[in-house]
Formats: sequence, structure tokens, C-alpha cells
Amino acid sequence: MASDDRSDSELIARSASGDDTAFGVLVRRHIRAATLLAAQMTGDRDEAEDVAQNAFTAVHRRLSEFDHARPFPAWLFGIVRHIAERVRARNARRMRLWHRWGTRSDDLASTPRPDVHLDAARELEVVYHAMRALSPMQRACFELVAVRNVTPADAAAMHGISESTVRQHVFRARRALRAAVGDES
Amino acid sequence: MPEPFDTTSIPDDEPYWDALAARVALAAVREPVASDWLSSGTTPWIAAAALACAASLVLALVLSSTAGRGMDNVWSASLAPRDAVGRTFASGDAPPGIGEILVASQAEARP
Repeated sequence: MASDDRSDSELIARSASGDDTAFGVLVRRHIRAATLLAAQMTGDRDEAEDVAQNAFTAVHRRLSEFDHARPFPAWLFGIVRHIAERVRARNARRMRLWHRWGTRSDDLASTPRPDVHLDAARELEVVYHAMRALSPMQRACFELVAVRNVTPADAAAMHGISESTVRQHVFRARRALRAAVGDES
Repeated sequence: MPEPFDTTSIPDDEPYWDALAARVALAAVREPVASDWLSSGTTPWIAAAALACAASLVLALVLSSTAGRGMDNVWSASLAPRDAVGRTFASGDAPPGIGEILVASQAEARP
């Protein structure tokens, strides 16, 4: 990624005046966090990419409304969460319809995605099992911070919680996972 | 918060993010077209359907009041009786007066 020292606020101001290159830099800077957040909320890569695209499209159309006193990620992640929630609601409606029409949605949900390569190693299995036992937010924070190297501050902005809460979730998740792996070995 | 999914399906390498960012930025700065509007949810489809229904209704009304009337006149003229009294009945906007019928019938009766 080419580095650009300009702040988000400067890039937004440039983008609002028609500088598409500045907008490209802004997108590149935040696309990873936006897509990961969308993926955590939708569970599907294609949908996550669509959500990220729709979020940045919304940002571009509302550049003039941006409050320069506030951090851009908080604004962006709010839009991502809003769009991802709509996708979740739409998917939930579809699942209900499938149930009603007699399709075995359990089978559909449990069909392994072809792009997910499951490691057969026992320890990894144990970690996955332990991950599933974590609370939803613990798992989300742990995955972002410990697996994806997202900063706690960014993870906090992504999920709209405080940074200390993120650190707490990650700490508890680490402890639970360590205990699970330790018990197993 | 609802149950979050894991993100293992998302690759985490620079080329992937570069390509995705380029695609997303390009799509975002592009001028919206009608297809984008239609693909943005069910509401635009409902609005488009309502608009199409309204347009069809207006078109049908216009046709029935103008072209329909024109066709009626053509049919009336071609199906009108050949005699003067019959033509007066068929082609006139208002019923003919008694005097008009009498004059027409007298004119026809003359050799």
C-alpha cells in the first residue's frame, strides 16, 4: 500500500472537492477494517465485500455531511454496521421463508464453504471448539485483535464499544483459549 | 450484538486489499445509473412498478379518448347505411331533427 501522510479529514475534504484519487487513498486505508467488520456481521465473503462497497458509496455521496471534528472510522463503521444489519435482516427473512417452504435450512447452514480450508490438526480443532464457546463479543474482539492484528482502538470503533472493553474481551478470550489448549495437552 | 461470524473466508494479503479497494473506490465515485438504483433494494422496484402502472393507465386513457374515438368514427362511417337518412343517423354527433329527416327522404324519393 502506498503511504499517504494526509489525515482522513484532509482526504475527505479533497474528495468532496472532486479529487477521486484522494478518495481512493481513503478507501485503501480503511477497506480492510470495514470488510472484516462486515464479514463478522454477515458471515459471507461476497456479502462482506458488497457491504463494504455500499458503505464507501454512501460515504462518497455524503462527504459534505462529514463532521470533521469526529474521527472518520467511527462514521464509516457506523455505516457498515447499519448496512450489514440490513443484510442480516434480509438473510433472516430468507431463512424463515426456506423454513416455511420446507427446505432444510440446517443442511444449508451446515454445508461447509468451499473456500474454508479446515485444518485437521488436533490443536486447531481444540482452538476452534474453544472459540465457539466464547461469548460473541469475546470471539469478535479476539479474532480482530489477536488473529487479524487490528488495534484495540480500531476494533472498538468497529463494534462501537470502548477500547478498554475490547482489551477485556481479548484478555478473557485468551485466558479461556489457553485453558482449553492446556486442558487438552 | 447478534452472533458474529468468523472471518476465515477473507484473505488477508496486500494484493487482495489493493484490488478490493480499487474496485470499491471506482464503484463509489462512479455516477449512479438506473440499474444501481434498482439493485439497491425492493423499494425502487415497487416504485418503478407503480410508475409503470400509472404510465400504462394514462396511456390507456389517452388512447381510449383520442385514438379510440377516431377509430369509432372510421367504423361508423364505413358501416353507415348508404341512404341519406341512415348516414344522418350514423355520422351525426346529435340525433337529426325531424325536418332534416323529412328533407333527406324527400330528396331521395325524387327521381
